[in-house]
Amino acid sequence: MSKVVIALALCLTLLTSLPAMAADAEEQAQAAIDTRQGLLKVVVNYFGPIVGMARGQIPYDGDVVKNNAGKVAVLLPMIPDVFRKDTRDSGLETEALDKIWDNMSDFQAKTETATERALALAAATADGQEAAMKAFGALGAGCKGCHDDYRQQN
Amino acid sequence: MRWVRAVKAVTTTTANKTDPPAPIQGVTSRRNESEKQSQPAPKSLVWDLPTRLFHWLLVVCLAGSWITAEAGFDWTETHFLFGYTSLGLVVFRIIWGFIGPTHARFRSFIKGPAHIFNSARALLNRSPSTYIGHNPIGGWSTVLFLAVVAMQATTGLFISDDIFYAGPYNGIVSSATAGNLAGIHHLNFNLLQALVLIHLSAVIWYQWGKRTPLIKPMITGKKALTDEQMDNAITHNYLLRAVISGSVVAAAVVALVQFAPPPAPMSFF
Repeated sequence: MSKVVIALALCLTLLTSLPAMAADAEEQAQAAIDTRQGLLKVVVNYFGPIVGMARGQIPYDGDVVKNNAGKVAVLLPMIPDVFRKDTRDSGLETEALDKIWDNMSDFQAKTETATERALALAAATADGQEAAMKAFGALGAGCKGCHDDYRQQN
Repeated sequence: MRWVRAVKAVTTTTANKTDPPAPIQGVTSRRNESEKQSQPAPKSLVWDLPTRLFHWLLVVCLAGSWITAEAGFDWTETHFLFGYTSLGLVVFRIIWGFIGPTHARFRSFIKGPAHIFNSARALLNRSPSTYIGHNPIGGWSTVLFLAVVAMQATTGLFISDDIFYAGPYNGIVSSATAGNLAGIHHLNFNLLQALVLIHLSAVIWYQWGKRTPLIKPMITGKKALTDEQMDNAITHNYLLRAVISGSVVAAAVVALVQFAPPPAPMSFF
């Protein structure tokens, strides 16, 4: 008798906790998405001023470019890390395409290329504005590599 | 300009100075063919110079914007210029559809279902087309082309590549809206490619399948017309009003993309 009661109680507990587990999974997926977007916003934080210099909105400053490019080179290798959590089945809103987890090695290779170009940009600041802006274009093309393939274009 | 005068001389003898609305043509008359064999028909002006210039400049802009879109960041600014020019061309063509010579006017080639049905029936047989300007299907494709190019150029004003470049009005829409418009820009381009492909197929079919020259008339403006079609030749290019309206449109586009937009947002701090 008591065994039956315990079994029933266990079943009931499991059944009622299923939605809670689902909610946990969703929360986790959402946290992963937030983290990814947060990281990319930090990348933009360092990338943005260089865009402003390229557009002539603010004066060129080689030291800022060197510093920011160095920070970007530190941040980019984190991208595959924060994308490790697979959110394909979460149904949550994200611009990250499912292909990322199908081609994780390519995704990683592309971030490595972009990282090298960020380092090249930091080095190019020694050769003056023109060289830096050329290296900056290459870095942007490196970013675009992933955006074209792995970011939703709607 | 000698040929303009020649055309004028021909049309004035038929006492028809103002461009009359084109009569319903379509299924009848194969005289074209037999006449061509007996003696070369005089070439009459059908496509005015501004319409032809519009056509070929649009070809350049569409090809150019495709190539520059694929070519990477160094070409983005050129891509923008092609887009702005396309926008201006479309606006000019719409205006020209009201103030241009007969065959450039929407009134002459926007036709109802009966005409569309007739031209659809004549589309696949191998006899030469008897239409002087656009046939009803071609007319509606012109409108479709204008709409699709307008959509392409307009959405381009609001979107960005996420990295370096942004259209002049990217700053006034939310990034979600910009993303949706970018989606339309990319999808609509496929539609545009399909339209171009259909257009080229139709031209090839008419030119060699139906033995109705279309390519040369779009270059020289002149077609061989039968005697009774002669009244529908146009007498002049309306160059003055083309230059005036073209300049106004060009100025408006420059104002739209260069002076009116809000300053690019500083997306950094």
